[in-house]
Amino acid sequence: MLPSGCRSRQLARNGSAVLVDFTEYPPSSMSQLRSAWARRIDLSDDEWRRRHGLVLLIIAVELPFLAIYASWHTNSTTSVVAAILPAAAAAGVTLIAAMRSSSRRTGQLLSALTLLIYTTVMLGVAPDSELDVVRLNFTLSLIVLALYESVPLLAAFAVATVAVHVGAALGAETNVIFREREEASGWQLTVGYLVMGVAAIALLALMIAANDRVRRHGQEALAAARHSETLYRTMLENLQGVTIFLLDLDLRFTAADGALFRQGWPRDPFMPGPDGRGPALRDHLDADELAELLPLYERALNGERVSRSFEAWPGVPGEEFHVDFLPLVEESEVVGAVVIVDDVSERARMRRELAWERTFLSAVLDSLSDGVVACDADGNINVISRAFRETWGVAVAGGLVEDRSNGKLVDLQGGDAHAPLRRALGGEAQEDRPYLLGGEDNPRHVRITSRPIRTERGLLGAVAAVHDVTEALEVEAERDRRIAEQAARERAEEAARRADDLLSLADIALEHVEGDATLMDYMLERVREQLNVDTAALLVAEQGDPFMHFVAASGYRTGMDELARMQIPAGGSTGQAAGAGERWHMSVDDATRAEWPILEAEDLSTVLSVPLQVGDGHLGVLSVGRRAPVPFSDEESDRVDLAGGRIALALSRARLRERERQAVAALQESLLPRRLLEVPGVRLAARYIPASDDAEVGGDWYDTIPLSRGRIGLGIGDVVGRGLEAAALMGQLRSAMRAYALLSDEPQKVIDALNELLVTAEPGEMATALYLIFDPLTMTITGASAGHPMPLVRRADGTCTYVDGTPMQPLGAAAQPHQAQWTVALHDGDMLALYTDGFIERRDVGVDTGLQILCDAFSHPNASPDAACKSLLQAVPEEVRRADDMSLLVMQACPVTGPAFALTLPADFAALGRLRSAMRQWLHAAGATSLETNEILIATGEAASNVIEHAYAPGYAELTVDGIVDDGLVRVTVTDHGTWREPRGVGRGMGSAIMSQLMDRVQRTGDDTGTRVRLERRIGHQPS
Amino acid sequence: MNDIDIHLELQGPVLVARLVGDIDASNSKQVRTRIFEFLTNDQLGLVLDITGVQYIDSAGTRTLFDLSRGLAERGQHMRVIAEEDSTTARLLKIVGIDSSAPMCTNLKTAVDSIRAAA
Repeated sequence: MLPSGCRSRQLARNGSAVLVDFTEYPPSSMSQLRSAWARRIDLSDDEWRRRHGLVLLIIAVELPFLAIYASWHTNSTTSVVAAILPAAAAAGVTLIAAMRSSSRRTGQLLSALTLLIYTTVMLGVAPDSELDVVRLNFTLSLIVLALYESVPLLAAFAVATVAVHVGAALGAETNVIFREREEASGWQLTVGYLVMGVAAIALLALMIAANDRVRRHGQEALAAARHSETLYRTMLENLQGVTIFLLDLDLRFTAADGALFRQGWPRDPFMPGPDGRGPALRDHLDADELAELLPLYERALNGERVSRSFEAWPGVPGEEFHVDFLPLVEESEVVGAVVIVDDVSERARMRRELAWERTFLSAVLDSLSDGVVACDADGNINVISRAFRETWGVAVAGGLVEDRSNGKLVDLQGGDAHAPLRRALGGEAQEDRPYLLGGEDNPRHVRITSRPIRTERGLLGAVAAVHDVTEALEVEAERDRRIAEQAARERAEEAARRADDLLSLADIALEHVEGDATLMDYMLERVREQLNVDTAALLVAEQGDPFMHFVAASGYRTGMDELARMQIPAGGSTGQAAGAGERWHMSVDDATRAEWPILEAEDLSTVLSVPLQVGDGHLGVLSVGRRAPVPFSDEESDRVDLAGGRIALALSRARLRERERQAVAALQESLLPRRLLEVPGVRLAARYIPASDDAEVGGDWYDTIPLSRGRIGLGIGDVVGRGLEAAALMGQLRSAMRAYALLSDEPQKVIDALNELLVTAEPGEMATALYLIFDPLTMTITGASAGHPMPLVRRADGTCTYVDGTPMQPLGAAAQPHQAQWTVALHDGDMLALYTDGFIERRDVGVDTGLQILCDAFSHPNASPDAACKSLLQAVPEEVRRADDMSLLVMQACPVTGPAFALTLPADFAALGRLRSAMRQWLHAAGATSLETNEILIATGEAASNVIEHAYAPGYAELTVDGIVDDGLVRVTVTDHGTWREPRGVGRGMGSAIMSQLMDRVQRTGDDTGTRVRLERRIGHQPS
Repeated sequence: MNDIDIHLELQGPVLVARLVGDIDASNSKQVRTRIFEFLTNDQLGLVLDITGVQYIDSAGTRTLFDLSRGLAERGQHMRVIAEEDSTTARLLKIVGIDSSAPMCTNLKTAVDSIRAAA
């Protein structure tokens, strides 16, 4: 809300308002004073003049009386004038001061002062004339009251004065006031008082009438002001985003209102304080703002209108503010500045959105490959898309439809080229009408579609789309041309089809390159058909072989077996030609028939041989022959060459593959034990079946390890992965298992050590492994498995079970394996099978079924581990065997006890322990005492040691120990196949002495094939 | 190599070697080397306890001879402790080790015998 003073001032500019409260509005200039005075007295010039006229009237009425009374009391007119004029002048000055005074109170005080001055002067002039003083007081009071509109006071005063005058007129004799007017004549007084009374009443009436008018005007103005104020406030409150600040000439805020305050700006800092002075602009701004804004305010005070845009306004959201600095003009004078802050963020946003929509629309239009042009109803073009501009060469929108085509458009159907839009404006649509556009250098074929744009309000304009079909037409033409070409080519290629058949045939061979003779036969047969020849054969020369051999033949009368035996010299004409990479075309004549019996036998007249070449290598020749004497044409020769090339490639690949397979098999073999252990009390058999699907080595291994005291270690494992790396790791693990097995009697520790090895030496690799120790003496198996499937045990009665034990995690899976060693007791004849997952992880059935199948196969009553291996392998279908390599190790516990004993050993001292442990079992079973057993062992050991020491040259050799117990007589024979030499070294003859001392009889026989030592000892009694 | 455990200890000035296991051609050299390693000149002699030996062949006995000869050359003495009537004892008697390394039945007798001889 504006301060009321301000409001009034604003409204006063309409020339119709009043009710000024000057206490609230100190005027600050003469012009303001003047206009304030004018409004204080009257709202209009007429009223103002009337009010002044009234004052003048009062003075005019009063002055004659003053003159009359003055003449009564003085003798000189001069003195009267001299007295009245200063009094009147002084009163006038104070009266003017009262008028100029800034408040009503000051005005009244000054008016009173005027009265006092006037009265004092008058009293000075006529000190004894109380009546005159009273009347003069009355007169001046009338003037002041008239000016200040105190109607009730004025009325009261007038009534009292009239009453005094009437009373004075009626009872002059009793009134002390009139006592000194006795010299006046009665009529004079009467007339005088009558005139005064009439004048007073008339004056009073005039006053009342004037005041009524003023009041009515006031009320009307008040209503108008309230109305205007409501209007004004409503406008301000409803104007979105507009805030108005008013400042006076000192740049103090006199008013502020609007949107900013509704958004939370505090209004108080802008309101005038109790002293009536508004807050200074300077207090609201910091130095920078002041420097920026102050000039704008000052320019506004200078009467300029300044506009600025701001991107932000402190304390409120919004992105754009428009600020107007205007002079505040009243009565064509600048009285301050108006600042109108307009938050135009919303409008800016809408403007942006509109701009974006236009951009979007234009981008959409521009992205069309078809050109689009549109015009309004008057034919003014206002939309042109990029494609249209480019096609048309028109830069911008605008202008009329007729200006656009520059005469470049030709209507192919005849008619006006400019017509599409104009026709559309005329209400006629057209669809894909063909035009030719552009000059001769780059004519474009276009199709133009145009139609009017109509809405409910009528025709808005027209739109046309230009579709450039030049490329499409070209493509169509190209396609026609290609179809024609294709037909021609097909006819041409028909001729080459037979050769292609040959090639595809050879490609089949490339897919199945196994060096398969059947396939080669098949190929040759097809070659024969395709080339229209009677015979076809492949002759191959191995490297370094001076002869070529038939490896495949088709159409020959001679059998393949016979052909295979034939040797064709590689140095012969055919071979030489092949070696030089040349064809060799021969018409067979009698001489050549004589040279080549095969030609004679086959009755061939024409032979063509082409070399089988791969790179620089010569594999042999492809030889085709005809019995009819029809030579090969060049074209035919080329086709034979082609077939030869393909076959050569196939052969070469087959050879390469075969070599790889051999290398891999050799590697695999080298990594598996060359021979299984022969240990008394144990029979062993093993199988390794490599996966046949590819040539890569698997990671399977198994091993048999001789241990002390006749025990045997069995190991099996599977490295995760395939190929050489897996094989290498497998070799490592196998060696390590061997080493650890010799160091520890506990399978668990062996497995732990393997795990440790894998984790530390080959982190990231994984393998399964199972290791067990069989002790033939105790007939127990102790084992541990790292992720490997548990062994199968088949009892002598045929029941078959998996060993009940917990496999540990695979090797390499964790550094901390669990304790999971298990023990199984075996009996004579029981079999144990160790196997790899290839046996049970089958794609056709689940693992559980795989285990069951394996178990069933193992329970088959087999006499030997070898037979059991066969049964187990048979249980696995061929296609499963292809997928993974498979290892199998079967052990049977067999009694070594009994009357007969036989053991073949390596001729190595290390094997003697095994011999002793086996013989100990045997002798124990035969009833020998411990002493007897020991002595027989010593004697046998001596015999065996002699063999080891003397019979063989360094290298692997064997010796055999046979034994038999016959009615208490133990006979042991130690046989070797070497040649004895004389004992060397000191004390070497002791053995014989020991043998003869310990045994009842010692006999040695020998010949070229070997030596036999027989030892006999009766048991059951002490030898003498 | 077949199993043989060799336990060595000093009984005063006498080295005592206790063998457990089989002694044959595969490990006899090891036995000799190991005992000679620990035999010093200031010791009076060697007691070889073979009560724990189940089996000894001619190579083993040869080792015993080697040991006794080596000791004798240095003026030291050797005694063998073997279980009476055992195969081992019998074998040693057969080969006549008694003459250079007399056999005793317990450690005390053997040590005392060496002390007496020295």
